[in-house]
Amino acid sequence: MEELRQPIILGSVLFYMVLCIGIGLWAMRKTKSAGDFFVAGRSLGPIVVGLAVFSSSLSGFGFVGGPGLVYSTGLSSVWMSTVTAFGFAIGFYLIAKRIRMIAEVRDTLSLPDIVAARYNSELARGLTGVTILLGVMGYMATQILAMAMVLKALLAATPMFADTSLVTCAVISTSVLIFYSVTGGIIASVYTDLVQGSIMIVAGVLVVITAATVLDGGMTEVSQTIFADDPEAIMPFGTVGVVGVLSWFFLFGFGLAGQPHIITKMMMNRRIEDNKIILPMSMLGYAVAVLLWVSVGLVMRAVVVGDMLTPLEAADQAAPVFLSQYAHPLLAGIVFAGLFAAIMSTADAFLNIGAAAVVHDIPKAVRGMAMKAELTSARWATVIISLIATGFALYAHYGSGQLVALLGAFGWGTFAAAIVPIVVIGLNWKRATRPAAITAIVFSLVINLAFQLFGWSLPYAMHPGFLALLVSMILFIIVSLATPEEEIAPDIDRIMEL
Amino acid sequence: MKAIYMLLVSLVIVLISVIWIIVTPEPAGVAGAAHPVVPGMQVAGDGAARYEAVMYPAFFLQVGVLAAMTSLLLLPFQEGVRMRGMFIRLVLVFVLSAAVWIGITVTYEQFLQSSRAPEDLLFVAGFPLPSALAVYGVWTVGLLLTFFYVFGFERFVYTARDRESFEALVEDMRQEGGG
Repeated sequence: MEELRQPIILGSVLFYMVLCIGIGLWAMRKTKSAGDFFVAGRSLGPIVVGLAVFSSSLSGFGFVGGPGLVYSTGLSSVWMSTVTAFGFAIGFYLIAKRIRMIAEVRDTLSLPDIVAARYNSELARGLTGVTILLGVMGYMATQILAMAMVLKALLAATPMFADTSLVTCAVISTSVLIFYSVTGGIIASVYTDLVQGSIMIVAGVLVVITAATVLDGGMTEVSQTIFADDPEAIMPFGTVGVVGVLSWFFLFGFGLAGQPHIITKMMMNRRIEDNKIILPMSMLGYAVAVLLWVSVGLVMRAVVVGDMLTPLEAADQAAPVFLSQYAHPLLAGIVFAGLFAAIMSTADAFLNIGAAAVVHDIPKAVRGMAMKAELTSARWATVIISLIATGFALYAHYGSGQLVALLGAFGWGTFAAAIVPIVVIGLNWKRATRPAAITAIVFSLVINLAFQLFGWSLPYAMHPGFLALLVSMILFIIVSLATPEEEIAPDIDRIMEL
Repeated sequence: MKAIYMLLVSLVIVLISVIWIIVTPEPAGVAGAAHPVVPGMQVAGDGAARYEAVMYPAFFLQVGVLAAMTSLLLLPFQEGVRMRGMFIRLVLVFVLSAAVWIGITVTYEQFLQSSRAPEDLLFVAGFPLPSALAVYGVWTVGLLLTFFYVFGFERFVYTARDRESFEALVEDMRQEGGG
C-alpha cells in the first residue's frame, strides 16, 4: 500500500476537483436569477447551511496554518480556536434570525443590503461594500497562493509532474474554483461546501485518532515530551504569553460574527426555525477541525523536540509531514482532498460576496441601482476578481508580498472591527445611529491600515485587530448615544421588536 | 441596567486593562524567543517573569471580555419573559466562564510557584491541568450556550407569537408591494 501513497493522494485530489466541476454543472441549471446566484433563493436545508457555515469559517489555515502555529508556539493558538464556540453563539443569538427576516422582507442579496436597510443609508452600504471588496482581494490572493503551493508540493513528489511550475498549479486550481463559482454561484458553493465539510469532518476524526496513537502514552506522553523541552509551551498561554492569547480570544470570539462570508449564509436557510439545527452542526464540525489542528501540531512538536524526527524546514510543514510519516495512504488522500476542500470552500464564499459588492452593492450606493443583467454581470465579476486575485498571489510570491499583505490587513480584523458594531450590535439596539455606523467602519479601516502601513506593533504581542475591534465597538456605542435618535424604517423596526 | 450599558462598561474595563498593560514595562522575551536548537520553533523562557508583570491587568482584561460577551448575548432579549429567562441562563454562562478563567489562572500560578517538575503536575485528558481547563473548559461554556439556544429556541429566540408577527409583516409587505 505504501508504494501507492502518491497515486492515492493525487487520485483523491483529482476526484475532488472533478466532483466540484460536476456540482458546478448541476448547480448551473438551478441558477436562474441574481437571487439564486447570491443567496440560493433562500431555499437551503439546515444540514447544507450548517456545513457551509462551518467549512467557510475554516480556510486552509485550519489544516496547514493552525497545526503550524501549534508546532511553532505551543498551546497559544488554542485560545483562537476554542473561543469559536462563543463566536458561533454570538452569531446565532444576535443576528441569524434578524438577518434571515430582513432578507425575506427586503429581498436582500448581500450584507451591505442589510446594513443599508437598517441605517437607511447608501453611504453605509457603499462603505461596507468597499470594505468587503478590499478584504476579499487580500483573502482570495492568500487562498489561491495556498492552493497553488499545496498542489505544487503534491506534484513535486511524483517524478512525472515534478517540474510543474507554481504558475501552472495556480492556473489549474483557480480554473476549477472559477468554473464552479461562475456556473453555479452560491448554490454550487454551498453544495461543494457540503462535500467539503463532510470530508473535513471525516478527515478530522481519523487524523485525531492517528495523532493520539503516534506515541505509546497517547496525548499525555506528547504533552510530557513537550514539557521536558519547554514547560511553558504546553501551558495554557503557550510561547506567545497571556496578553497575546487574550487578544486573540477577544478578536476571534467577537469577530466571527462579523465575517461577511459566514453571516451571508444566515440569509440562505429555508426556515428561521432551522437555526436551531444549523448552530450545533456548525459547532460540531468546527470542534472536530480544531482537534485536528491542535493534535497534529502538538504531536509534531513532540516528535521533533523528542529527537524522533528531524526538525521541519518550516512550521507550515507540520501537517503535510505528519501525513507522510504517520497517516495511512488512504487517510493521507482524504486529508489532502480535505485540505483543498477547506481552502476552496473559503475562497468560493469570498468570491461570491466580492462579486455581490462589485455588481450590486457599490453600484447601488453610487447610482441608486445595481448593474443591469445582474446575473451575467455577477458571473463576469467572479472571473475578474479571481484573475486579479491570482495576479496578486503570483506577484506576492515572485515579487513583493507588500501588496497582498496590505490587502490582507483588510481581512479578518477589519471585517470584525467594521461589521461587528454595525451589524451585531446595530441589529439589536434601536438607538444605534448612522453617524456611529460610519464612524465604526472608517475607524476600523484606518486603524488596521495604519498598523500595516507603518509597521506598528503593540506590546506583549497584542493583536492590532483586537485594538481596532475594541475601539470600534466603544466608539459605536458612544457616538450613537451622543447623536440624535433616528427613525428606523417601519418594517425593520417591527423585525427588531421580534 | 440595560444590556447596552453593561456592554459599554465591560468594554471600558477591557480598554483600561489594555492601557494598564501598555504602560507596564515589557520583560525580555515576552512573546517568546527562537528555540535554541529547532529552527521555526519558539520557546517561552521564564514564564513566571513574563506572567507576573501583567498578571492583574490580564486578569481584569479577561473578566471584562467575558462580561462583554455575556452583555452582548443579552442584547436581543430585552423584553419581559425573554429577558428574565435568558438573564438567568446567561448569568450562569458568565459564572461558568469566569470560573474556568479563575481555574486557569489559579492552577497556572500554583504551577509557577511549584518546583515545576513534571511529576508534580496533574495531567487531565492529555494536558496539564491549567491547559486542560483552557482546552476543554471554554468548549464546555460554548456547548452550554448552544444547549440553551437549541432547547430555548421556541421559548426565547423565535416564539409562536414571533412567527405570527413575522408572517403578518411579510403579508403586509406583500400587499404594499402589490399596490
